[in-house]
Amino acid sequence: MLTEFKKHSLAYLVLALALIIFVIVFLAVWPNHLIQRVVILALAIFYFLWGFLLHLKNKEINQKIMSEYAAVSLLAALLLFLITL
Amino acid sequence: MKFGHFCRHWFHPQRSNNHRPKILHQSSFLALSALVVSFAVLIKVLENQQILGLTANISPEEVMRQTNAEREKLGLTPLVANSKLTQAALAKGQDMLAQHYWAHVSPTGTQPWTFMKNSGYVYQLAGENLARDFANTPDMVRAWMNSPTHRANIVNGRYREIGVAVLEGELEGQETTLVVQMFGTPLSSSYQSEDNLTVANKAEENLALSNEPEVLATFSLPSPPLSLPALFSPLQITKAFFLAVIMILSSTLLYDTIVIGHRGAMRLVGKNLAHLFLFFAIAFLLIFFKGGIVG
Repeated sequence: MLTEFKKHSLAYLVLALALIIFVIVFLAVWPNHLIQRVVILALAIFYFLWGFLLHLKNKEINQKIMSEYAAVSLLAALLLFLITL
Repeated sequence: MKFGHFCRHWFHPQRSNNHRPKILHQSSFLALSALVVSFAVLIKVLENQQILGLTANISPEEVMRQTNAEREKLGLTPLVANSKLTQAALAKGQDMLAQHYWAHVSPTGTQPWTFMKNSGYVYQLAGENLARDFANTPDMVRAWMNSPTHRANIVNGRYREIGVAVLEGELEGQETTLVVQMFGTPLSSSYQSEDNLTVANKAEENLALSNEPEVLATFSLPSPPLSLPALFSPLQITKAFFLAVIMILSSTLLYDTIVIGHRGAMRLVGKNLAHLFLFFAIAFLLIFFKGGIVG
């Protein structure tokens, strides 16, 4: 795991920073659920794009990997979106 | 034996699952998405049928106490409970439940101050805050304080009296707890304006105000919650289920990373570490999420 992190340290730092920002914004806009849902959508899109760019850079992109990122993004978005209903 | 094989197939990277635990396959993520949607729908149905309790831990006295606590922080005089304002708040809440609307003005055009007038409350200044579906008073008052327009009502130094009603019923097809908070300054009252000028003798201006009342209002529309014991509110049950899903996925991702790292095998799959980062962030948000929307 550490090897993986060192190998793509910049990408993971970007991801970690973005996630921290999303968390802060999501909590800061409470109790406005509408903006929270926009944040959730942005988070899902960001994560999918992050995966796409990382694998594209490493030249290991394929449909299966991108489907996985899409599915993970969808699940993450649903977990947060449904709680705001 | 079959159970052991099942567990290995779903949680251990091996040949039967193409060296990736089945639960981490794209199809499983989609199936889990369908599962969490189904669970959320089920909870909503049970909530609406009142199988899951819908008793908020909110009382008018506590709302008044916390409202005054917010005012005292700014050195403002506490509001005094007024039975006519309370009656007006109750009438407004009952009207909202009866006519199924969530707004300051009813579908028939009835304004908030109409309820005040009907209860016999004669004012020079009036305001209204609304909230629904909060599980407890602190969250609700915090939500109001986070909204500039609600906050303006709560910390308006010109208000003298308050009336609060807490009602339960069906609103727009959803079981809800509705809170109506009405503020007022009686026509006979003198008050200190923001620049500390006494305006008690501005009778004409006050009369004009009573004809065209200043209604400072907005309403918060929070989200889920409420239950028999607070421990088992629909929101908390949903949170617990979602967190369990995340925990299973995160544990499997961690285990898969360790096993594959130990084997030194190469696979063309998504980054487990990235998925872990994401799920930890989601788990954090789920844990600290509170209901509430400002509309």
